[in-house]
Amino acid sequence: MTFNGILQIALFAAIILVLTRPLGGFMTRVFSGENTLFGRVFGPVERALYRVCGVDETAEQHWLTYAVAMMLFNLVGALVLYALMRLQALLPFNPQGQAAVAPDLSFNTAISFVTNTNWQSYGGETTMGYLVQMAGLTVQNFMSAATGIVLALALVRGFSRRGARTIGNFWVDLTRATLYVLLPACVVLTLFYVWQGVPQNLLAYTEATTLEGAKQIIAQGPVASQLAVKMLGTNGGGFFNANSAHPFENPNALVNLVQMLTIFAIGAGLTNVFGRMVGNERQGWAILAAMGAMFIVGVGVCYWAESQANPLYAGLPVDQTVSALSPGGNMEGKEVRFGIANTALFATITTDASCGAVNGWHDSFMPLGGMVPLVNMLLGEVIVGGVGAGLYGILLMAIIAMFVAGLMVGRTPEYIGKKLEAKEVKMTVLAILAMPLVILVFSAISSAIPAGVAGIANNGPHGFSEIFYAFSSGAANNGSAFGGLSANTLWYNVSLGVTMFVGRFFIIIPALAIAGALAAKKSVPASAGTFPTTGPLFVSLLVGVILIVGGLTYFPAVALGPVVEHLQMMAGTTY
Amino acid sequence: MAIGCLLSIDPSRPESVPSRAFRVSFVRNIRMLDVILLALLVGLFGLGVAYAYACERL
Repeated sequence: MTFNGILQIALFAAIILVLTRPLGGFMTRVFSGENTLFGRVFGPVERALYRVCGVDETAEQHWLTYAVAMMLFNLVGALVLYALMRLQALLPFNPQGQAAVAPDLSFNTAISFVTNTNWQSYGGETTMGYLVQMAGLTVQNFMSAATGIVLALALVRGFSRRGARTIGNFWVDLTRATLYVLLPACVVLTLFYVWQGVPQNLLAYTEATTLEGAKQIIAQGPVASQLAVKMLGTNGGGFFNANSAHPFENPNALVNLVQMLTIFAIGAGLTNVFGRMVGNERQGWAILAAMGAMFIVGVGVCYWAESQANPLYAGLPVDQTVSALSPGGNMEGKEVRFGIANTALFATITTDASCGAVNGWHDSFMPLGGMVPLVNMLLGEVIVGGVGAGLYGILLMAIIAMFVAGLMVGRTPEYIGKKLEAKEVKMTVLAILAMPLVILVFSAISSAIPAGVAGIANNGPHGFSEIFYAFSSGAANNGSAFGGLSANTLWYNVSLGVTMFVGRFFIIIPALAIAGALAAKKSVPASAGTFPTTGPLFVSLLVGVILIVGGLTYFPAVALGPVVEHLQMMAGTTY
Repeated sequence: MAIGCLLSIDPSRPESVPSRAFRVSFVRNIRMLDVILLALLVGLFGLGVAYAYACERL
């Protein structure tokens, strides 16, 4: 670990802290229906959309109506995306003549992009034409991100409203999240990326002649516009197969920093939205403090692990010491442009959030370094998390934390002035059980059947980690790949598709049910016995509950993968 | 033949030209896979809606 590396990580955290409050204030105004900077530009567009779609913006919805609207909207999105991929060869903007995408891969990709996972069982530049990239994948990047934001808002409204039967209007929230938050930011980011050298064109790939006289195909296309929302919407699906390790998708250190900042920006800002909407900003800061504590530990462990020399290289002519010319440590699978600190930081951020973009190869991390992204996902991606998904994820954990606190002191638990009763706790438990159900069951099946084992590139604990990581990534709607797993098979495409679906909607639906139940309740005034939820005790309790729930559920599986691999490595065995 | 076997054919592997009967069977199976997977997709969303109604009653 170097001072320079630590300084860069500290700089990143400081910028996020500075951005949180202004972003939170802006988004609160947007979702409260107040006028904003973009009102004059997008106001007429917004009203025209409502007229065309027959939406009454003043009519609010019961949580069930909200949920059904969300499901139908996502179903239509998935069907359109599936059709675009299957009919790709017949459609325009396909200068490379990419063939129709196979049915099982289309199924997987449609669910992947609708659920904000962006797991990619394909290489972007060798599979998808420009129309699918723009009208299919990029559109879903916007829609799935907006869906996550509005669902978090619905849950926040559940806390902030009193005696209400409604939690907002899905169509209005979705439109405002897209028009006022995602679209303006993405226009600015796209222009920035183009300025920094990211391609944005519709040209056919260029055939270049190398110095040796060989021919090389250089892929390009509408990259910058997809890159902007890929990071801001915590989608993570790359235009190129190498994702943000590709020089066209991440040309320099400045772009790398901006990409990392945009992954966390909206998620961090939403904690402030939460504080403002429940009438006490400190509630939002307490949530962000819990996230921040886990983030610091995660990035610290990952950076430390990757800075260590690999003992298996002892005696080989490999220089692993820090010097003026070398960052030292484990440089396998890392871009030399970014080095160890920025790769460890990127890997931690991308799995804290549900982004899944990568600028290095997680498969090549040291066992304990690779364990950090895995554990981040297994904890439910509540460390800032996906846009919206992180906030509603950690609020579910907060409900469990307050339930535990209530049991300890013998009082009916309450949070933000709302009594937490059987309905809320039952829904929270249902939401928390969805992820382990699909992760553990599908990992176990895939480790046992030939169709599952055939996909792994390594034996032993590393091979298990490849399978376990894939289902963790799918269920957490992260989408990053550990690497080493050939997932473009019928088994993995279908099983991961189902995993992504359950990991998204079987958490969202109980969260909306909680929103509906809480909104209908009266507020309980704080008393001497009320557990304060803005102080360090609450932050510690929340972090403890998250670690215990994650630890109890997944520790045996984590032990079988990276932990055993680390111990074996120390004993001189590799896989 | 299982659909999975058809899909596991490696496109980069040199193959003899498939017979017309094979091609017809392949296309039919791919279409059948489309139907199955689309039904699964719609079914999953239907399950999600049913789950929402179940959560309301719980």
